[in-house]
This record gives sequence, C-alpha cells and structure tokens, in this order.
Amino acid sequence: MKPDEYLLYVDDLSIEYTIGQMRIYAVNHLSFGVRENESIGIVGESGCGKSTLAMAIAHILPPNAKVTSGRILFRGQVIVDQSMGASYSIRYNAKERKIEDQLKVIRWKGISVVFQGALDSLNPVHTVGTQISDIFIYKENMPKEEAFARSKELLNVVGLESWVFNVYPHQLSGGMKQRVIIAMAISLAPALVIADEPTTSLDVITQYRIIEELSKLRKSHGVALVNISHDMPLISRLSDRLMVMYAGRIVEMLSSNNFLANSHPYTHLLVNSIPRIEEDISEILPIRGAPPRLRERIPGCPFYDRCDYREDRCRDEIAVKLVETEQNHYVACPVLPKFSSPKAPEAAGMNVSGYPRVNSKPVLEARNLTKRFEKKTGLREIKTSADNEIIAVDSVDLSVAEGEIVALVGETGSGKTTLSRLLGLLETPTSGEVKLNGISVEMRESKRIKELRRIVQTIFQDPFQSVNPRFSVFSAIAEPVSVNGMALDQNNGGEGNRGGTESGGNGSNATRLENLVKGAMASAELLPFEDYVDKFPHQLSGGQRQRLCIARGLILNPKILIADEPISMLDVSLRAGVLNLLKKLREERGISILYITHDMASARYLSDRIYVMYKGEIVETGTTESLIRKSAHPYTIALLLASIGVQGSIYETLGAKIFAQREGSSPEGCKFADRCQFAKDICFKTRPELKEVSDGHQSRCHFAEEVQGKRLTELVLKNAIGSRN
Amino acid sequence: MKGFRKFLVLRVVSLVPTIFGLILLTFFLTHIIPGNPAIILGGPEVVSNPAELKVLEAELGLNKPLYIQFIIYMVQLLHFNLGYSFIQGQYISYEIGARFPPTIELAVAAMIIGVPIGIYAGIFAALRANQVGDHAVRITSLLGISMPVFFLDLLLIIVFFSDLHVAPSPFGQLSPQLSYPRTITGFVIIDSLLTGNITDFANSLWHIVLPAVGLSFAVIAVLARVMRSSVLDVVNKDYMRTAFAIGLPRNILIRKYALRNALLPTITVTAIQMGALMGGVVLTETIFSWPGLGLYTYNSILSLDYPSIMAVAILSGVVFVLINFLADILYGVVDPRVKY
Amino acid sequence: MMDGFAGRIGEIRKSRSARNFYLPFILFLKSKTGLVSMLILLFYIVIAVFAPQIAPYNPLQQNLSHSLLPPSLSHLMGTDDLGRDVFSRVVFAIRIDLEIAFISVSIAYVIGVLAGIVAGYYGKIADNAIMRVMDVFLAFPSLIFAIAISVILGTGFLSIIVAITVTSIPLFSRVARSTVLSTKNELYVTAAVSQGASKTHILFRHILPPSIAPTLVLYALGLGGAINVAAALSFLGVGIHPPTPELGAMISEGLNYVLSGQWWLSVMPGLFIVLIVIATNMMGDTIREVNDVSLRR
Repeated sequence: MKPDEYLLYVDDLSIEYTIGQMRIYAVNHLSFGVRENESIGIVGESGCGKSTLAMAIAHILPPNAKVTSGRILFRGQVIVDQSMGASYSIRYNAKERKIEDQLKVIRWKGISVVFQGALDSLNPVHTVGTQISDIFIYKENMPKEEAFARSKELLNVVGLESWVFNVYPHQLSGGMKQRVIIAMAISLAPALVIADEPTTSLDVITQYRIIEELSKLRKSHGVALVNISHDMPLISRLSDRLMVMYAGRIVEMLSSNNFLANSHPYTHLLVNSIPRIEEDISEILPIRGAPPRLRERIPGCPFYDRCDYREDRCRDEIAVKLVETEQNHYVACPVLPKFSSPKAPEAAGMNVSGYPRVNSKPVLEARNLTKRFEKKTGLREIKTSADNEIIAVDSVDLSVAEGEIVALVGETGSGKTTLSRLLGLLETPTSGEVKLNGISVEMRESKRIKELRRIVQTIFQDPFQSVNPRFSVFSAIAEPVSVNGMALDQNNGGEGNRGGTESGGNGSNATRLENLVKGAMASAELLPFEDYVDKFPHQLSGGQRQRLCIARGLILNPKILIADEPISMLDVSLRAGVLNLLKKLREERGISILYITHDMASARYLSDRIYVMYKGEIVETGTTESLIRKSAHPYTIALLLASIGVQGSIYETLGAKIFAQREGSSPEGCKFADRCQFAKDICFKTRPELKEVSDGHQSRCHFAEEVQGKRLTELVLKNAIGSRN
Repeated sequence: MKGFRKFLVLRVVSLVPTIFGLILLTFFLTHIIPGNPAIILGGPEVVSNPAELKVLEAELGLNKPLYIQFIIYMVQLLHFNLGYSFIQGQYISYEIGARFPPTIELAVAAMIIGVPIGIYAGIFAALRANQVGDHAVRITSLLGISMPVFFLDLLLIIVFFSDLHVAPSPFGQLSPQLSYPRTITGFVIIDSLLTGNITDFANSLWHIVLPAVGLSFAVIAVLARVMRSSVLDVVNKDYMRTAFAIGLPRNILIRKYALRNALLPTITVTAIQMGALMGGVVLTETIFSWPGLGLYTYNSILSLDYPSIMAVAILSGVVFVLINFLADILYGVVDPRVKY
Repeated sequence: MMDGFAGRIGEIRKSRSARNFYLPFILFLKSKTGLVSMLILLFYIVIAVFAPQIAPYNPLQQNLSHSLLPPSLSHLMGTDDLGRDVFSRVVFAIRIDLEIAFISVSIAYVIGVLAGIVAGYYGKIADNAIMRVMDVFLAFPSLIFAIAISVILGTGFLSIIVAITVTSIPLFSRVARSTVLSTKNELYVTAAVSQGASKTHILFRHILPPSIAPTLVLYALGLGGAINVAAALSFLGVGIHPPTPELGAMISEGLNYVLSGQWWLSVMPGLFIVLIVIATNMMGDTIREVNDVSLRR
C-alpha cells in the first residue's frame, strides 16, 4: 500500500484516552487507505475504536485523546500526527491556532462528517437555516442572501422541503434531522465524507431511506465515503469495501458484496450472530464473553479470549498483522480456520414445530384494548376535545398461548411500548380488557394485581437503567422475592414464618432465598454464581445486565415474559446470546414470551406468531412464516423490504411513497392510506377491519387478498438468497 | 406569535395565586401571630394606654371578623395603600416612594457591575479549565459566595476609605458639603445630569462605586460559578463538536454557537440573585448610610416601626415575583425549545 | 416499613454491599477540599463545645480601663470599647451561631425534605398544596422575610431559629421533590412496580437513597447560609441581643470604631464568619462531586 495512491491514508495510527488515572487504548497501530470516490464501511461493536478512528480523521476527538503513534494523510498532507494531535480544544494558544490554520482548508472543504442525527449534533438555539448558511457565510465568505438560497437548495437536494430552513432542530423528526446533517456535510463539496453511525436509532424504513440517500449522493457528488456502523449487512449496501474492527485493530478487510465469505473468526461470528430476514436459519451463533475494555495493551490477537479456533501462536505480536489471502481480502488471523457451515437451513417452520405444544390455552389475552393520552403541551392547558388526545393503542386484540413465543413488531411511535406496559400491568387502559390465565385484570384491585403480577414479568429495553445502580446483583434479583415475601413463604410450605421457630426459620429462609437466586441466575445463564452475585450493575456488560433482568423476571416463576426490545441496546455480539436464552427458556420451562421488537429478522428467528403494529393498531397478524412469506398488508411489506434493502424493479413496483414518512392521515380512512401505493378511494373513506386471509392470518387492508396475491416478499426473499449464493 | 401570547397570558394568570399567597402570608404575620395586632401596627406606645388601644383597634378595624379584616387589607393593598406608620405619623407609601430611587440606583449599579463581570469571569475560567486563571476565579467566587455583604462592605471601607483614602466617606449619596439637585426623577445621578450639575454628578458616581461593588461581589461570584459550569457543559455537547468539525472561525464558534446556549441558565440565576440583592441592599445601605429602602428598613427596626417593615416585606416580595416572572418570559423568548 | 423477610435479605447481604455504601464517604475524605472543609467544621465544633475552657476571659466581663486595646499576647484579638476580650467573645459567639445554624437547618431539613418527598412521591393534590405554599415562601427575598418574621416574633434566639427555619424549608423541599420526581421515573422503579413492590417498599428502597446526597449538599450549604443570616439579623439588631456575643452583632458593635482605626472589633468576628461559610460551601461542592463520581464507578 502506498500513501500517494490514496485520498486518505491512515498510517500506523494509535490513540489513547486518559480518564482520571485510567488509560484506554482505543486504536492500536492501524493502517488503511481510502481512494478517491471509494466507499469504505468500518464495522465493529461499541468500544472497538471505530468512532475514535472516524473522529480522528475529522480531527475532532475530545481533548483527553492522545495520538501515540502514526499519522493520517489527506491528499499527501499530514492532518494528524503526534505533534498535531487529533483533538479539538476550546483553549486557544499559539499552538492550537497554528494547527487550526493548517486544518482550515481540510475542515469541511476536504473532509466533512455526517454525525448521528439522534444526538444533539445540531445546535438547539439556532434554526436549521442559520446553521447551514453559516457554513457558506463563514467558510466561503458568501453574502447572506446567496448563502440562504444555497442552503434551501441543499435542503431540497436531500429531499427536505423549504420550510425546514426556518425551524429549530427539535421540531424535526429523527430522519429529517439526519437529512439536515447530510445536507450540511455535502455543502462545501468535500472529497471525503465520514458517516458516523448515520442510521443508528432510526426506524427501519427511515434507515433504508437514509442509506438510499447517501448512496445516491455519493454517486451524484462523487465523494469518497467512510461509513461507521455496527450493522454489517446494512452498511455493506453502501460500501465497496468493509473493514472489521475489534479492540482497536482491523481484523479483516474485504469487499463488501461477499462479506459472507469472511475468514476471521470474529467476522464469521459477527455475521452469524445476527438473524437475517432473508435466511430461515434455525440457530444463530452467540459469541461468548464480552469485548475487552482496552484498559491495557493486548499482545497478540485481541479476540483470543473469545475464539474457538485459537492456538498458541495467536498470542504472538505477529498474529495481528493483516495478510492478503486473496486479492483485496486481508485477514489478521494466523489460523484461518475452515468454518463448519452453521446456517444449514433446515425445514421451514422447524423452530415452531420443534416445541411440543401441550395445549393452546391463552396465558395472556387483550381484548379491544385502548389507551389514550392527553397531549402534553408545555404549560397547564385547558384540556378538552379529541384532538388533544393521542390514541397510543387503538382497540387491540392479542393473545399469547401457553408456551408460545409471539412477536409484536412496530416502529417508534407505533404504540408497541404502551401496549407492553398495558399488558405488563403498568398502565391502566382507557378501555378494553386484559386477561391473565383467564382472569380479567381490574387495575383498581391492588391486592389481586399484586398476585397477577407474579404471572407476568417484563424485561425492559434498557438494561442499564432497569436495575437500581445501588443494588448488588444478589439484592436486585432477590428484590421480587422480598416484595412478595410472605406469599412466597406460604407457597413454599416449610415451617412458615409466623410460627414460633423464629430463629430457625430465619436461617432456612436465607438459604432458600440464596437457592432461589442461584436457580434464577442459572436459568438466565449468569454463571458462575460466585462471580456475579456480589457485583454491582456498573461492573457488568450490557448482556450480563440483561441476563440479570431476566433472572429477576424468572425468580417469581411467571407464566409469561414480556420482553420489550431486549436486545436493541446491546452490542451486536451479545445479542445472539440473549435471543438464544429466551428460546431456551421457552423450551425448558414452557414459559410464554411476548417479544416486542422493531426488527423483523429477530422476530422471525424467535417467534411462532407475529403481530405487526402501525399507529396503535394491529395491521397484520399470522404465523411467522405465513406472515413473512405471504404478507398481506402493504406496511408489513414495506418493513420487510426495508430490512432486506431492496433495489431495482421491486422498489419501483411498490413506489417510493411507501417509504416516505408523512404525518397526519385522514381520520376516517385507513391509517396507512397516505403512504400506500395501492390505496384507492375506499381506503381514504372507510377504516378497514382485520380480516382473515388464510388460516390464522389476518390483515387490516381492504385489498388484502390482492396485496397477498402479488407475493412480493416471497419474490424478494428468493432474490436475496439467490444473489448471496 | 399566537402561541406566545397564550404563554404570556398563562404566565400572568399563574402570578395571581403567588401574589395572593404573599398577601395572605403577610396578613397572617401581622394580624394573627402577634396576638394583638394593634401593638404591632401601632407601635409599643399604645400598649401603655388602654383607651388609645381601643380607639386604635376600632380605627384599624381589628374588632371586625378576620375575613373582613383580610378583605380590608387586600383592598388597601390594591390601592397601593401600604398602611399608616404611627411612629412616623405618615402614610408608608409616601415614605417608600421617596426612598425607592436611591435603592434602585444602587441595585442597578450593582447589576451593571456584577452581571458582565460575573459572566465574563465564568467564561474566562471555563476556557482555561484547571489552569491558573481558572483556579483564581474559582477561589475568588468561593470567597464571594461565602462573604457576608456587610463584612465585605466594612473591609472595602477600611481599605479604600481609611487606608488608601481613594473612596469618599461612606455616608450617603453625596458628600455633605454638596446640596442635592432638584428632584426630577428622584435618582440623584440622573437628576444631577438633567440639571447640568456636573459636580453633583461626578460626586454621586464616586459615592455609588463602593457600595455597588460590595453588593455586586456576590452576584459576580454566583454568576461566575454558573457560567463556568455552563460553558464547560456546552463545550462538550455534540453540536459544538459539529461546529468544530466545520471549522467555523473561533469567535463565531464561541460567541454564536457556545455562549448563546451557555447563557440560558444565567437568566434564571440572575433573577434569583436579584432577590439576594434585595436582602443585601438592607445591609449595604445600613453601612453606607445610603438613604434608600434598606436604611429605611433598618431605621424602622430600630424604632420598632412594624407596619413599615411589613410594607417593605410585601413590596420586595411583589418585586421579586415580578423579576422572576420577567426572567421566565425572557427564557421563553430566548430558548426555542420552551414550548408555549 | 419493610416486612421481616425483606429486612433479613438486607442483613444477609449487608457485608457484601458495604463497599458501595461507604464509597462516597471514602471519596469525600480523600478529596482535598472534603478533608479541609471537614477539618474546619470540626475545629469550629470543638470551639463551640469547649468554649468555656478555651476562652481566656469572661466574654461579658467589662473592664473599662482596658478598652480598645489592639491585639496582643494577653488579648489575642484585642479588646472592645467596653474592655471585653474580643477573642473570648468570638469563641462564645461561634458557640451561639453554630447552635443556631445546626438547630434551624436540622429542623428545616427534616420538615423540608419530608414535605418535598410527600409532594414528589404522592403528587397531585399533596404536591400542588405543598409546592404552592413553598412558592409563596420563596417569593420573598429570604433575608427580608427573615427580618419580618424576627420582628413579628420579637427578637431573640428562638425567633432567629424560626426565621431561618422557615426561610430554608422551601429550599430543602424543592430539592427533595425534584430528586424524588426524577427517581420516580427511573426504569428500575417501573421494574419494581411490575414485580409487585408496594409504594412503601419503593419509597424506602429506591426513592430515598438517591435523595440523600443532594439534600446533604443543601444541608452543608444551609449551615453556612444560616450563620450568614443569623449574623445579618443580629447586625441589623433583630437577632441576638447584646451583650450576648454573636458574630454579626459584634461586627455591628465595632462599626463605629472602624473609621477611627480600631478595626479588630469588627474584622476578627467577620473573618470567623467567612471561614466557616467557605468550609460549608466547599463541603457542599465536594459532596455533589463525590455523589456524581461514586454513581459512575
């Protein structure tokens, strides 16, 4: 590799952070190049150093980051090295001023950044227009009027209307903010754009649109792209080459259209630990352990601890050297194992029939469940009328049978979380009914509720906030026992607590409790007991915390678990473990699970049946395979296609409209009508009911049969698998 | 702006219960707690004369039921009638009206000195976080929030008047040999300027410096602390990283992109500081014999002139509520995220 | 509050969670500002407790032949116009000011924090009622409110305490309420609800522990503030009556002599006010920092 072939060349770069007394070795001796017009995807989990790398290229690391070796060249000019650093600083001394002078032509004119739009990457007190036009005014000395005109043009280029110019960032949706940031990034026609997790925390369909937007702009503007992401399939659509990073190093570099033909054990596991919608696989591979925290330098292969193919030579320094195995395919692994094909597709529906269903008595039922909220408007307003209300959940019917895993799929704002709170007995419905084990729930009867709560337990999305940071693992898991303490004593028989044998009962209670906690931790695979029991939440990884939450949910021996996006906040390599755990719990304990997610692929992997939710309504439901292969609602199809990332003819059949996100729909008609390519007059006038299209498969669409008849998803699925093989 | 008007109306409406509460509380303090409010209102002399006490009680309406008394009290207040001081033999509102301008003059001078210096010191410290300049500001502001204002005033007098002889004698708004300008606005500085009396103007400016500096020190200290942490907070925000990545010129970066955000919290804090300032004014005016409301309060305390003290209390309460109200509105105008 | 079983869980595992419990205290004493401020406070407490042993003279004993002596070995801080030893007076003044501060701030802490917790946790009517009252109290500039209360109640030790307590209660209840409100919305509280935890369990196990640090910060700041207010009230003549020594009153008494050069009458007591208030402010800042850090570790 020669530096002058490249637009951007990173040469033996190492970066450390200092936090108090602690050092973090974020990037370790890393080299690669980006050619003009090329698009590179950098893939890795959180903490692998990919963001540090990206921010170093843009020279905007925080002040506590230090370049300890190497340099970064842009068009042959050094922009980062040990003396220049890679940080920005609010302090301003002669040295900083000199560095900024050198970077003046690089910043934004040479290299720009698409930041993650969900963060506050835009200044909250200035309008979008001000922020874009300031770039022209202060970087190009453009007169105000011209700058305004150019800014409005730019907004149109990224598919936003002109009114966006005059609003403040907080008035925009996540997807729109992301577009504004993209507009800013291309404003000065840079040669290189760095996109830092450009789609993270956006909805599936918005993600798809942003990826489309970026690849379109890349072609039309002829820029080189460096995309940072944790989602390999997603980013591979946007990139020519992929770089896989682990523990501050590149472990593999390969062309993105055959990322399935990878050679590094980490890449292999990363690809196969995520369920992919287009493949019906019976098992995903969890990666054991957790990524290293990089508090010390790791000699040799950083993946050694978690690798199934490790050998002694992997600990040598030479083991981390990238070796070209085929043309344009570099791997840093001395072993280069042959992987046994793990994803041997088994018969469709295997996972469903694999579990013997003893009976199909419903454990959890919702009938006509509705929840309305008052719209919150800053101050205490006079509350009246219907338009001050948000219907979060709109007449939902749903059931989960004993031992069944049911997925509830929906995007942000679809009402799925509110529904989960209603079903988890955390919210009182406006109308309708929840039944647990056939018993109708009356939220006012607090005694009964307390008993019913032992039947249903909720696992929350955010494992970092659902455990009290002041509780040790033991006390967190034991808490449900302590709050239900008396009842548990009676149930478990024994001498009881109220008898005279106070001291004796005391001791046996303690051991019984310890055994209960042990059992729950074993079920949740939080093992060995001694390693975890006295830890505090901040000492655990995300996956371990989620297991803690599952253990806490299991200790009361509930009939059903409601898992609200249990993996969405976890690192990619830890997700498979939690998904597999849920699967195992059903198989071993016969526990029912309501799995709530935005991700069709994991829903397909885990569940027997799926409910799709849109704007508070269930729009389609059916057995997993039927719903996915023979989708009968345009929205389901849009979700599926977005998560596969279709291009070409099918995209055109469906129309771009379906992927557009527009607010407001006619109050009488179908809530999806304004986005639907197939919508006819009736769709805007009459609200469709859920109707049966085949056995157990229902769709809320006037033209359900017609839509199903197009067999769109089946086609796409076939194509997707075909193109891979 | 329709939303804004609604916001404004709602804020004004929300003032009503607070002000009503203020009145209720002072009524409670004057009419219920003391046992015999005539003593409080009429001063200690009336106690010795039961006949006079009876007359006074009748005059004040104290023989009427409590709620009638409260209504009378409210109606009086709504007519800006703050009561009658038997000790001074005068309506209190008259006296307070005359005492208002010097106090406003002093308070405004303190804010003019305090707010910019406090804000600047905070920015200065934040931009040099953990360097010498930062430590100096932090230690000074720790001293500023810890120092009782009357003690600071005393030290200022010792140093600048007694030792260095650069400050004028700490008595009043003008040196004793000068005569006050004709009253137009009541503000000596402005009146002397309006009447073209340059000697008075210079002299009154000279006199106001020391008490104003003493009063402003706490304002400086509090604002510097708030501003420092606010700037440090903003600098670490993602949008500042965006601005850095764009490579905006440094003065734009700091002034337009960092400070506007960082200044938001100081609006509320400044308003709260004005409340502290009103307390400080009583002490400072006492020390500097400044003929404003503070000195009036002090004299009322000495002569046990309760109605006057209560009048000052209720007046300062209302003013403070209004200041907080204005700060609230200002915040709503400046921060686009505040929902109307 | 907790049933027997839950209580026992606490016992069984107490030793294991001890480290986390003491961590904030260790961090506090390890930090320079924490240690220094603690030592200063202890110094003042020792002076207050052993005032009779420390003071070389009777603070009330007049000796007109020794009036207005500058600081010397026999009178460390000089004497005042009535020939009383300033050092002895300062020692006893610290005693009375510390008494006022601890008593009034402790009462305000208990009432204010309780009211804040009730308002924040039970919400609705209780919240509205309590916070409206607090709003009215806060609507007065605090020193002026304190003056009004002291004047109405008749000056003296008790009325100072009432004045400071009444003006500090709203601050405590505001802080307590806001921490309760933010904790109440934590996901782990929702999790506890979903497990069937009772309101009292949640209050004592989840809501109260995180409310302690912020209110302690305010307690420390409040001590300094109380001394400041007590001194200001006495300075204005609505606090402690002469001849009882009080720091603010002493400044006031010395005022007339400052201009004639006898600075020690006022400056000595003033310095002692400044030092203790600095210590409490430092203490408050350190508790705040330590709390932030110990939760992140």
